[in-house]
Amino acid sequence: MNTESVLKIENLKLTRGKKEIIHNMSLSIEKAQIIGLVGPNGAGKSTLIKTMAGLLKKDNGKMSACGVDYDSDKIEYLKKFQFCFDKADFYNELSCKENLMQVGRIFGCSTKEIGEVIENVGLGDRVNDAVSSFSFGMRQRLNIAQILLRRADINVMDEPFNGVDPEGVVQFRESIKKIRDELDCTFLISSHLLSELRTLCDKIIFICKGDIVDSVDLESDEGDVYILNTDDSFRSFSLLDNAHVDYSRQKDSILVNNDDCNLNTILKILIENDVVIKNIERCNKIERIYMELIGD
Amino acid sequence: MKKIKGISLLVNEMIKFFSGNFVMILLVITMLIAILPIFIVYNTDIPDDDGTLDSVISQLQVMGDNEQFSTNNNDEYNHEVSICRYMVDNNVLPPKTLSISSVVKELNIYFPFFMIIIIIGAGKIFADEYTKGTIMSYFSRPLQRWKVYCAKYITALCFAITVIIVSLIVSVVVSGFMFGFEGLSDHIVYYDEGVKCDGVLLYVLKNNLYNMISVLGITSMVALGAILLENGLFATCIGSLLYFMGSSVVLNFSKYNILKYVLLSNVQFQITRAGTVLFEGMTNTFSIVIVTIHCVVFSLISVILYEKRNIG
Repeated sequence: MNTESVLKIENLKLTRGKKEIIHNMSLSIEKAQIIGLVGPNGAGKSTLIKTMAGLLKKDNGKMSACGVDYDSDKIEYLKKFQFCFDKADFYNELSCKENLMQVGRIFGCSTKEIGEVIENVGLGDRVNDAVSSFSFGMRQRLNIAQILLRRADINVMDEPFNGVDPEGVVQFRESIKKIRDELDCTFLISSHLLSELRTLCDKIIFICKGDIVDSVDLESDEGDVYILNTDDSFRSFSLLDNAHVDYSRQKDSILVNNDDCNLNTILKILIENDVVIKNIERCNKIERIYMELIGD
Repeated sequence: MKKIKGISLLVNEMIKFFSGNFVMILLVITMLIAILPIFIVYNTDIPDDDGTLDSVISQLQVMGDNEQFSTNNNDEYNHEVSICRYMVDNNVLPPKTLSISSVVKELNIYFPFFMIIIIIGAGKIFADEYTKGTIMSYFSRPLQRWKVYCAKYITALCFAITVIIVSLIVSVVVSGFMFGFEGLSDHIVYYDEGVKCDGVLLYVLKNNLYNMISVLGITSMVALGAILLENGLFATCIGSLLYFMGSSVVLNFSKYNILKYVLLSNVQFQITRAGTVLFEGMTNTFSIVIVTIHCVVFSLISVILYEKRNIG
C-alpha cells in the first residue's frame, strides 16, 4: 500500500455563531485508501466536508490536498477533489447526459468520454431522460459517472447510501472498489451505515463533537473486541495491571482486542485469582465505538 | 488540468436556464403582451384625416384653444406641441393609426411589463442554485466565483435581449400581417431632450438601447437580492415592486435632491425621455452614468457575497 499522504488537515477550527463546530481537528489520509467517516448526528461530518470543499470558512488550521495548500491556491486545491453531497448534486430538469456535460465542459472532457462513462455505469438507455425521473440508485450511478469523468485524486461523498436499495448499495460498493483499484484514487465516505463502511473501507475514522475521537484500521485490525464483566472490576483491573497484559477499560468492563492468545492469558489470570467472570461478549469494535459515541 | 474557461461556464448557464419549461412560459407571456398594443390600436376610433398633416394641424388647434392645456403649460404639453410643430414645419406625416409604426411606438409604453418578465428570469438564474441546493456541488468545483457571477449575469442579459427581440418580432409580424408592412418605412417624431425624427427601425433600436441600460441596472439589483436572500421569489417581488413603485416613492421625496442619484430615479427611461424628469438636471447621460455606477457597485457586492459567505 502506498503511504503517500494525499489529504492533510492540521488544527482545523471552525465556529458558526458562537458555537465551535470543529475543534483543532487534524487528519491525514493516505493515497488510494477508502476511508469511512462515522459519527452521530451533529458530530461535524458534513461540516468537515463542507469546510474541505471551501463552502464554509475555517477560522484556523491548514488543509492541503496532494501537496497543494488551500490558503495558497484554493482553485488548484479544489481541482484535486470531487465532492458528492447527500442533497442535490444534479439539475433535475436536465438530462443525464447534459448533467455530465455540465461537468465535462468545465473540466474539458469530450462528448465521447461522457458517452463512454454513461455506458460504463449502465445508464446508456436513460441517457436523454431527465434526472428528475431517476431513482436514488440511478442518481448514485450518475455520481459514479461524475467520479469516473473527473478522475480526481480525492473523492468525498456525504451519505452516499441514503435512500439507495440493497442492490444499489452492493453495486455502489463494487464500483467504488473498482474505481479505487483502477484510478488509484482516494475516497472519503461519510455514512451512518456501519456495516456498509466495514465492508467497503480500509479505515474508519470516528468523529464526535467536532473532533476525531478514534479510528479503526480495518486492514490490520479485525475490528472485533471481547467485553468481559467480572464480579469485582476494581480487583480485576489491578490484577491485569500487575500482570502487564494488553487490555482497556470501559466503565466496569474489560475490553480485549480480538486476540485469542491475549484473551486466554487474561482469563487465566482472573480465574487463578478467584475472580468470577459474569459475562464474555464478542462485539464489533466499530459498533462499540459508535455506541460509545452515541452514549456520550 | 486545463484552465477552466469562462465560456464553458456561460454555455452551462445558458443551457441550465434556456432548456427549462419555465423560460418557454415566460416567452409565451411575452408574446401575449406584445400582441396587446395591436388590439388597442385596432380598437381605436380612426378619424377621417388619419395619417395626414391636417390631423396634426387640428391637434395643434385643439391644444391651443383648450384653456386647460394652455394654462397648465406643463412639460408634457409643451413637448406635444413641439412634436406637432416639427411635423408641420418639416412636412413629416404622422403614422396611420393602423400601421406597424403605430404599434411599435405603443409597444415601448409596455416595456415595464417586459421588465417584470426579465426580473423573474434574472431572479431564477441567480437564486435557483440556492433553492434547489445545487449551489454546494457547483461551488465545490474549482471555479472562480466572479466568473460564475459574470456567466449568470450575461445569461440574464441574453434572456432580456430574447424577451425584447421576441416582443418586437411578434408585434411587427402580427401587425404587419394585419395592417401591411409598408409602415416600416414611416418616420416617427418623438421627444428626447428635443424633438427627434427617426425611421421606425432606428427608433426601435434607440429605444431598446435605453431599455437595455435599465435592464443592466435592474438585473444587477435583482442578482444582488437573489444572492443576498438566497431566494428568487423574494428577489423578483422586491425587484418588481421597486421598479414600479421606486419612481413614485422617490417623487414623494422630490424635495431631497440627493435622491436623483438613486438607481430607481433613473431606470424608467421611457418617462425621462418623454420629458418628465423627477429632478432638475436629470438627463439621459446623467441617468446612464448613475445606472452604470449602481450596476458596478451591486455586482461587486454580489461577487463579494459569492466569495465570502458560507454556503450550506
